[in-house]
Amino acid sequence: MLELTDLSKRFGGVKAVDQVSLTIDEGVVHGLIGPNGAGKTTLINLISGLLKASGGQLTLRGKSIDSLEAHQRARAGLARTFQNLRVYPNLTVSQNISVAASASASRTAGDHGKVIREAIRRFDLEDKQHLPASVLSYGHMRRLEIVRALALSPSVLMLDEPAAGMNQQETEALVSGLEWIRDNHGCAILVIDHDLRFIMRVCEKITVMSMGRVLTTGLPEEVSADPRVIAAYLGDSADGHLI
Amino acid sequence: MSSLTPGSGFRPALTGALILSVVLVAIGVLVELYGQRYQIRMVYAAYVNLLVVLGLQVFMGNANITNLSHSAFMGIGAYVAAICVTPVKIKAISLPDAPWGLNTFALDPISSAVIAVVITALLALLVGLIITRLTGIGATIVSLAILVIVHSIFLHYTDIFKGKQAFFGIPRVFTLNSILVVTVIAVFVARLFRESRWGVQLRASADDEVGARAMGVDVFRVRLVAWVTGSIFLATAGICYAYFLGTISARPFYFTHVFLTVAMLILGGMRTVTGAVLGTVLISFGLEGIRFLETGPDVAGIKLPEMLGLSGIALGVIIVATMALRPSGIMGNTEVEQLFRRRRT
Ligand SMILES: Nc1ncnc2c1ncn2[C@@H]1O[C@H](COP(=O)(O)OP(=O)(O)OP(=O)(O)O)[C@@H](O)[C@H]1O
Ligand SMILES: [Mg+2]
Repeated sequence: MLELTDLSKRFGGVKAVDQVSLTIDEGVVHGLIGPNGAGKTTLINLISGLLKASGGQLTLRGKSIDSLEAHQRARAGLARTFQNLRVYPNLTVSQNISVAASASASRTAGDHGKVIREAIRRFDLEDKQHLPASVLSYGHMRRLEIVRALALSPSVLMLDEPAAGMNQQETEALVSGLEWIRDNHGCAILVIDHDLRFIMRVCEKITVMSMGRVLTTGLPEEVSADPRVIAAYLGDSADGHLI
Repeated sequence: MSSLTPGSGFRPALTGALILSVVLVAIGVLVELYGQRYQIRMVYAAYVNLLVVLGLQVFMGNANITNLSHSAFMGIGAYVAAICVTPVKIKAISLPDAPWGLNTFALDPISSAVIAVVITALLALLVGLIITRLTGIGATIVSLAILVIVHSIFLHYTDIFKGKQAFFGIPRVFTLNSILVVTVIAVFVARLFRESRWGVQLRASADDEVGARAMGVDVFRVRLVAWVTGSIFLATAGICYAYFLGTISARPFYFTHVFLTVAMLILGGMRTVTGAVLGTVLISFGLEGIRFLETGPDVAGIKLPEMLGLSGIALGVIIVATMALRPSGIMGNTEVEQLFRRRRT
């Protein structure tokens, strides 16, 4: 559904993303892992249009989206969360969500509001709707970002480290939340995280990046046994499995 | 009750606007009943400034981009209306060399006002195409340049604007009642704009521009909508000013007025319409007291010294103190109806 072809981004001399080709399929939870500085966040920034690619092409459902601005890509169905949270602190939780809902291409669809309210319940924000986003806990801000992105009715939902800073219990809830999104929204989910246990649990497919390049894409068990992946993560001295 | 659909914040907004309107009308009616001519003039001027501050709130408050050009747009509204509405007989004397036959026609006050609003909004649209693409210091500097450019035009194109001299003979068709009606409408429009899809998207972009773009907000577009909407308030303020005084000149549309109205917005809190109203009321009445002190009055038998320039100092101190102690102004994020709701829960 979303196709990346030779996507590249340089920052001066640094090749943050180097000729990445990747396909995100409909309804699949797709993991994106790699060491710090591998280029994962930069890749999402390129897809969402917040950064201009230095090279390569992007197509969504067969149509090129290279010339679309960030807000147009969001409306076209590419939604995301941020590793460094970007909630709107002076708006309430429901206003935060309404920003995306009111920009969404499907804002006029009859059940749009119902779907969002359901997401608010699932992600435990129901009793916080009238609070300013600035007073939320870290975990709730992360959840708010997910629900806000969902309010765009995305076809691809990109989550940049959604489990970061969450405790065991919260991560557990997040896992079932993501499964709920996959089963009820029919969107693909591209999820970045350093918590490999979490990634292995929720993802059907995993892509590993290192130094701007894709090392491999495969099933969780293939990826976790891949020696190149282990080397990228642990250095050459590594032996054995990732988990 | 949830506010997920755009515009579902409209109900509380109407309540809030109604509360503010009742207070504003009450002040107006009291002054009308019991006030001297001088006090009526003072309250009229305060309400003209309120229109300006509301216009400022629509863009500056929601977008969080400091604008210093607003008095220029007020001036454009005032002059365009004045040129259209002033009788030919007077223009033959006051504007003998006016180009494009400007001194050969005169329109009724309503058509003149409409033309003034349209021309101001079109000029604002042109300027807005630049301003909305800038943020922070860039936008502010450009707005300052606009203020200076427009003022220079008012001063030096004497064939049309009469420069330092007064532009006189404008029919004085407005009373305190007229501006009460206009102000009440403006309070409602500003408040509804704030809670509209555009308003909420704009406030999101003020909090986090990147975060707003990533959620589908066309930041330039919503800024432009607010900028042009704000300019309509400013033009209206200029028209109300001209239609009441009957005489205008370039000076009231310059720095002193910019500073005064910005202080009003900052003191009350630029994020809310309630803040705009509160700041305007407080400073308008406060300045009256200060002007009284400036003249060196007798207080309880003691003759105070003259304190010229006190009002300028006071405004400066208000801005500094607000910025230092309460940067988001008295109201912060709270609109008037939320004060009541908060108490109930
Ligand atoms: N705006 C920028 N300007 C310059 N260099 C950048 C910029 N953004 C990222 N980089 C560099 O690009 C590389 C990839 O960074 P990126 O943030 O994409 O990594 P990441 O895989 O998300 O890492 P992490 O797991 O730590 O979040 C790094 O070397 C980083 O320093
Ligand atoms: Mg990252």
